[in-house]
Amino acid sequence: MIAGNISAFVLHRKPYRETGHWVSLFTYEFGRVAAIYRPSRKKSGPLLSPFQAFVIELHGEGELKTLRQLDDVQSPILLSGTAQYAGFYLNELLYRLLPLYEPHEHLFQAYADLLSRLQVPGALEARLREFEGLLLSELGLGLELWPEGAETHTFASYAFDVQEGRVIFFGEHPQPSRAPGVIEGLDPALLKAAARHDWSVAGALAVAKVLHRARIDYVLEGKPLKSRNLLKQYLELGRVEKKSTPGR
Amino acid sequence: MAELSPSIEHLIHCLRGLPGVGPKSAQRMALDLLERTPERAARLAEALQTALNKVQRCTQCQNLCESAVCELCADPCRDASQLCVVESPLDVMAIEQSGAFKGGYFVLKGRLSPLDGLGPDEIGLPRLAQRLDQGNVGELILATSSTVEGEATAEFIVQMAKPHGIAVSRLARGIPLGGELGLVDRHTLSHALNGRKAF
Repeated sequence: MIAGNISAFVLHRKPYRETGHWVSLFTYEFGRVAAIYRPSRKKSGPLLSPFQAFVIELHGEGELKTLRQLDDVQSPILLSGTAQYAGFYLNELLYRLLPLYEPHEHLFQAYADLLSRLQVPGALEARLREFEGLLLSELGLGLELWPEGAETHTFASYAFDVQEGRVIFFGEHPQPSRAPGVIEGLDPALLKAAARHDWSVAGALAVAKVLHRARIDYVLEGKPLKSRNLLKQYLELGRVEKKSTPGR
Repeated sequence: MAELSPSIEHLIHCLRGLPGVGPKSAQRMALDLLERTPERAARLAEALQTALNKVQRCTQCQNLCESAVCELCADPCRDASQLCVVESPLDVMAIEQSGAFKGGYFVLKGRLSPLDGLGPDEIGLPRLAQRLDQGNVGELILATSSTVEGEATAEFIVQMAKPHGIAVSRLARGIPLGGELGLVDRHTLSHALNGRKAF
């Protein structure tokens, strides 16, 4: 197989032998791809860097391809601060959740758009939640935070079944025993707002975060996302700094 | 071809884990050591064991050394209030060879890379936080690599240093000495332009 003019982003890379790289790519045409890249010793090419759009050429029949041509199509998206750690989070999500060689053109476009907007201040959390929702949905693991057209039952108790990825309600009396993998006591107004991405409703983002996280953790069989922890630690450091410099 | 013995297979497997060593190279090394130069193999085994027994991390800077505090940290002529943060002992050697720096070092165990399982704890940032808490660092020079992960590591340290009011600087990036503009990649060139200095 020789395939050229492929749009790609680098999700992860590791050194391979003396001068090469093993690289995990997210491509428009093939979805996630693993390849070996050996840069030319004669001429300097672009750096194999995450958050940079490339046009590549892939060779090989097996699962592990050879990356031959690598051209950067735009200036690198220079992420800094929180956006940089959020970028790591997106890459880890894609790297760990996407199967190899399964195209997801819509998701690719959403990823490219999101990367270019990550550095723009504000709405980072909303963007991350929407991307998580899209990713899960593309993989057939989407969340139904509110059934379409469903009414709110005044006396019902709302919960989220993590395994099924959907909201359930118990009627007037909540079930006495706590089922594993069920998040109880949810506010229907927040669920509805989260389902239609109406982040102007206070608390909707927080609910979406809890439910998305539970669903992703379930899909990953509880194996932690290192980048999520890193982002959290970075934000905590920022809070410490704000506390120690009053008046800012 | 007949199968190799389990011990040889195990040796090849261990050699394959080394940087830049593929399966073929590992096989060649193992067979050469055992077949042609067994005395060198014995010396290698002994050297490895000795290094494993003696080498430890410096309690001050995390560099590899053979005592609780490394020679650089113990040197009274060096300015301990200046701390240069690097990713590996190799970086210390490189900066020392330049002769341009007479401060102290802090050697990380790599750089933040979530997909490699490397977070702040794994690369030794809690120890750096302790150094900053001690209050005798006046300036941090961040010499992490010019990669996305190196930048993320530098930003994390900047955030750690902020409550202490420590001056933080980053190694400059740009045109190499003797380099011609036409041969420099556009990203490096844009960094060089952004980081230009007044004459």
